[in-house]
Amino acid sequence: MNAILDAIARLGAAVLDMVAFVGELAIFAGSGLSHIFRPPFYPRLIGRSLLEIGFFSLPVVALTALFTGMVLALQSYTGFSRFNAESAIASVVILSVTRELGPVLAGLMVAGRAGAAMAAELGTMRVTDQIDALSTLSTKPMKYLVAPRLLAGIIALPLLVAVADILGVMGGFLVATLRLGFSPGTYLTSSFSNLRSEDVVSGLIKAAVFGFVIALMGCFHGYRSKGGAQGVGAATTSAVVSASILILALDYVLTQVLFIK
Amino acid sequence: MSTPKIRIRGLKKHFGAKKVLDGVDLDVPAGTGLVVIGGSGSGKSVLIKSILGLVTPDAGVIEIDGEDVLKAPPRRAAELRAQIGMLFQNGALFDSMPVWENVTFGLLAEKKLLRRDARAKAIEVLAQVGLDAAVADLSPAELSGGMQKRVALARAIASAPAIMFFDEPTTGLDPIMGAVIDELIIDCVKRLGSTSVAITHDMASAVRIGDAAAMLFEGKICWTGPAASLLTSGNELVDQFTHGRATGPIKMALRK
Repeated sequence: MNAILDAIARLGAAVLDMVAFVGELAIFAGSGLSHIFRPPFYPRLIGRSLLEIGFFSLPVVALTALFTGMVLALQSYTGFSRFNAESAIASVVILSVTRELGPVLAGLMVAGRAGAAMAAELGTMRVTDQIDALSTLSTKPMKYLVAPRLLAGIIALPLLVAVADILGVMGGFLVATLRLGFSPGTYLTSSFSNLRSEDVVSGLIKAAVFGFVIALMGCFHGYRSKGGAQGVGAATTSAVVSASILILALDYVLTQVLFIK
Repeated sequence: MSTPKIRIRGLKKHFGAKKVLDGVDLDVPAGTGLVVIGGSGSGKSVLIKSILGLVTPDAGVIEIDGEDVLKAPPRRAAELRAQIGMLFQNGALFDSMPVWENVTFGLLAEKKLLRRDARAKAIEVLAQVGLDAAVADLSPAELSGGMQKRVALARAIASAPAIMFFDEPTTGLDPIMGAVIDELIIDCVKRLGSTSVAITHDMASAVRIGDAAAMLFEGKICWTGPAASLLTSGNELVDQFTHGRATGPIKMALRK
C-alpha cells in the first residue's frame, strides 16, 4: 500500500514540477517579449545577436539546405520514376524546401549552433555572478541579455530560411540538370509555376517562430543554470534538446494552422 | 539617535527546508564599515543579496535611509538600491567587454556619462585603484586575479556610491595583494564617505577594513562588537571561528 502511495506521490511531485517549469517558462517568455517593446533599447546588442544567430550560422544553414535539395531531387527521382512522374520533381523539391525543410533544418542547425552558444554564455554569466552584477549596475538582465536575443532570433531565422530556400532549390536544380538530365529551362519553369507566395510566407512564419523558440530556450536554460561548469553544460544540452523538440512539435502545429487544401 | 544608513529587522529566508536567515537584525550607521563573518553557508551572501534585491526575503524589514526597500514601489526601491556599489567575490567582470567599458558600465546605464567620454572616465577611476591607463583596453581575461579585483573595485566606486558592499574581497589573493586590496577599499570608502558592509573569512582583512563586526550563526546575528575586538571577543562562537578551531560550539559536518 505504501509503495502505491509513494508512487502516486512521486507522480504528483513530477506533475507539479512540470507545471511549475511551464509556468516559469511562460513568465520568462512574456517578460522577455515585453522588454523588446519597452525602452531602453540596445541596438548594439541586437546587432551583435543578429550577427551571432544569423550571419555566423549562414555557412552551416547554407550547406545543409544545398545538400538537402540535392538529396531530395535524387530521392524524388527514384520514387517518381516508378510512376512516370519525373516531371513533378521540380515542384516537390521547391515546395518541400520552402514549406518544410528550409525552416525546420535551418531551425535545427541554428538551435545546435546559436542556441547552445546562448545557453553557454548566459550560463557562464550566471555562475560567475555577472548577471547579478548587471542588476547592481542599474541594468535589467532580461532587457539587456534576453530581449535583444529574442528579437534577433525572430529577425534572423526568416532571413536564414530565405537563403536556405534559394540554396535548397539550387541544389535540386543542379542535381536535376547535371545528373538527371533535366533541361534547365523546363526545370525552372516547372519549379516556379506551382509555387505560390503563401508557400514561401508560411515557411518564413515558421522560421520566425522557430527563431523565437531557439533564443527563448537558449536564454531560459542559460539564465537559470547553476552549479558551475557542470550546470552550464547541462543548461546547454537542455537548450538544444528542448529547442529541437519544440521546433519539430511546433512545425506540426504551424503546418496544421497554415494548411491549405 | 540618527537613522542608520541600513537597518535590518527580522529578516528571514529559507531555501526548501533549510532556514538560511532566521530573523536577522542589524544596524549600519552612516559612514561606518561593518564586517559580517560566519561559516560557509551561514547566509552572509544571502543577507547581502537580499539588500541588493537579488534574493527576495520571506519576511523582515530592510531600510535604506529609513525607507523599507521591500515595501517601496519598484522604481523607488531601484533608486534606493542604486546607491549601492558592489564588489563581487570573483570580480564578476563582464568578459565580453574591455576593462574601460566594465568600469563605466553603471554610469553609461544610468546615462550619467556619454559613451565618447567613458574611456577617459574609466582611466581616471582605474588610477584611483592603482591601475595604469594601458589596462583600460585589455579584456578581463588578460588580467591577473589581483588586477581583476582592482578593476571590479573601480567598477564599484565609479558612480561614487553612498553604500559599498564587499563580498570576500581578499579571497583567492596572496596576503600581500590582499593587504593592498584592503588598503584600496579603506581609501575608497574614506574618500567617498561611504557606508560599507563586507563579508569575509579573512580575519586580518576584517580587522583592517571594519569599524564594527557581526557574526552570523544558524541564521541569526550571534555577536556584534568592534571589529578590532574580533580576535579577543570572549564569545565562544566568535573565538572558535576567528581562531579556526575544529572543536567548539560550532559543529561542522566531517567528511566520512
